[in-house]
Amino acid sequence: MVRSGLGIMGLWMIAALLGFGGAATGVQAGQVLALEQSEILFAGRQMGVPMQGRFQKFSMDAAIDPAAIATSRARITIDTDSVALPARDFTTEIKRRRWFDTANFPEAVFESTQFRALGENRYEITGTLTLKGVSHDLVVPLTLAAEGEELLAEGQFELKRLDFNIGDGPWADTDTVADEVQIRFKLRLQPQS
Amino acid sequence: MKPATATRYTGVAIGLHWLMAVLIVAGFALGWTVADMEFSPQKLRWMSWHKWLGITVLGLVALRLLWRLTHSAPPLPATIPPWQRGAAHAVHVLLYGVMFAIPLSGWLYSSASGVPVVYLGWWPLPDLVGVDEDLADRLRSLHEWLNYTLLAAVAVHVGAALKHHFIERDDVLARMLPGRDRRE
Repeated sequence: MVRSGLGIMGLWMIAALLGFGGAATGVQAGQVLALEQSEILFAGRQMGVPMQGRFQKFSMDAAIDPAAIATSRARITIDTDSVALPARDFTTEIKRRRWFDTANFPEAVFESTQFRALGENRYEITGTLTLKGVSHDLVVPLTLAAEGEELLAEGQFELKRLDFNIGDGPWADTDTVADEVQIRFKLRLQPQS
Repeated sequence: MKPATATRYTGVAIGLHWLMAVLIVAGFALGWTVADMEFSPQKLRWMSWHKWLGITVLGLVALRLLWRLTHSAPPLPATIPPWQRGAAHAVHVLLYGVMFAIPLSGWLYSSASGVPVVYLGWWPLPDLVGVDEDLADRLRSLHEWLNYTLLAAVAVHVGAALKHHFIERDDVLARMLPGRDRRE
């Protein structure tokens, strides 16, 4: 009797903690990005050759809570001039006017409009990506994993570079540089202190 | 060792020689042009074609060396002095050397600069070294100097063949020409 009583009390405590936790996260305290443990990569093909690039600088203003997913929000700002490809002349080229035009469009922004749970640790963010002055809505699948106080968001999706005029003019020829680009991201979020 | 007919190279040797001559000239011309081109889709296309030609030459020269090691060359005319025989042999060895070294150095250069070789845009070849800018710069110079060596060796090779054909009027060039049994 005593034992089962404790059991019920224990359940009550857990329920109370969960409820309290839910209420606390309902406030949507912000998170900051641990940049050095995060990455935004993109992979394309030129003449059948896979080329992987990355952005070295980006920031995030987010309040993501798996327990209150519907009210979560995220805004990612990428410093386009921090783009890097493995080959030097490719890096120089991709910053130029025909590609990212980093001089005129120094930032690319993704802003969420809706978060949706898909079951287990899988989620979906709908949002708007603004790149080189062009905005398109995207649906980005991702997983969320809580690691202590931190939250790790990982996912990948494909977009078409020409939707954003990335590589226009003579570069619009997709036989040389493929239209499809795979984006892969890993974002480690820490509670704002 | 299976000897060739007394005066001519085998059909396979002749075929490989002229096919490779055409591929090497095309690869050299493309490489020469692309090296100073502005970054453009045309440059990427030609760069890839250049690499595909180089890898084709590398495969063919391996076959050709095997063929040469198992099929002796027809003897040179008795009138040729020993120093010229020695020179001819040295230039042939050098040509075989650069036919291997040039595509290999190009492949290494490609790997070091972070652009893997995908043969015919379809078959990814392994990277021979990791991405390394300094190494890439040195491999580029090596690739260039090997090509100057090739250019010099080909000049001597072609010059000697023409000298034998038109001045000495012997069978040296005819041994490698297709479709003629012997020079009358």
